Amino acid sequence: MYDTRDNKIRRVIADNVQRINGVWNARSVTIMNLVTNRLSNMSIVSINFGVKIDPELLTQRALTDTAFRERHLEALRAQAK
Amino acid sequence: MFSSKRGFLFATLVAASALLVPAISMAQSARSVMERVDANAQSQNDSVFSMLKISTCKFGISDSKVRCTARATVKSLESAAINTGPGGKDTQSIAFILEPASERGIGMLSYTYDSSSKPNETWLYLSALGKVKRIVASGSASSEPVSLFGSEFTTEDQETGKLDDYTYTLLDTITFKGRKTYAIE
Repeated sequence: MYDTRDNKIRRVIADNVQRINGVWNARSVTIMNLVTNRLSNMSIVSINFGVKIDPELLTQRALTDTAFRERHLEALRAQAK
Repeated sequence: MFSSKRGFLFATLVAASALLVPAISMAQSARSVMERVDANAQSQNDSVFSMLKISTCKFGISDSKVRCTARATVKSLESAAINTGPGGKDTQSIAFILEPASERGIGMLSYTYDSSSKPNETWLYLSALGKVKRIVASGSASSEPVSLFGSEFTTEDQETGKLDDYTYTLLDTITFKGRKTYAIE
């Protein structure tokens, strides 16, 4: 990744690419910030497709209402393999 | 040459994502490859519940190897996403920090729209403050990518759609780690 002056500023590395449930996923992605010399790695610990997710979880209420959020997350954890 | 910061970001992600495109025997236009990359990324959000770990550190390079030079901060997350909208091309996703305990409950809600005319939306909840903060919509003139939970990942790294916002050029077709790979700017 380059800035407008053509300086290399960011590097993205996708690794451990797997096809899960017919979908290609990089189970590990690393982003290197070449300006600050800081990196982050995101790894998928577990992934579950086709899970029944109540759309109510995808609302601002889920951010602020702990009991509401936990109730929905518990339902998802129960579906996770 | 790209004219915007966002253009550069997207181009690099495209290069990384090219690994995810299975080899195709016939020549492909850059746009059609990108449509497949985007469709795959979209599929990753199809009623998905996942657990993630994000590790962040300062790094240095010695003996051609990248190494953390300080202890990494590690965060565990739970994330859920569904595809919505026409053709299931929009995405709603939410993620919460589980660990460290001091950050448990911090969450981020994102609505990503396929259409170039509809800006994406993100809300951040900081449990210590008890407030939801709306992040400036990406696609707007004043938008900047926002860090995901203090990491080097940004909201923009997670987004799909809006292919019409960019122009694509197929630079090369190479073999990378044994796979036919398209290098696209």
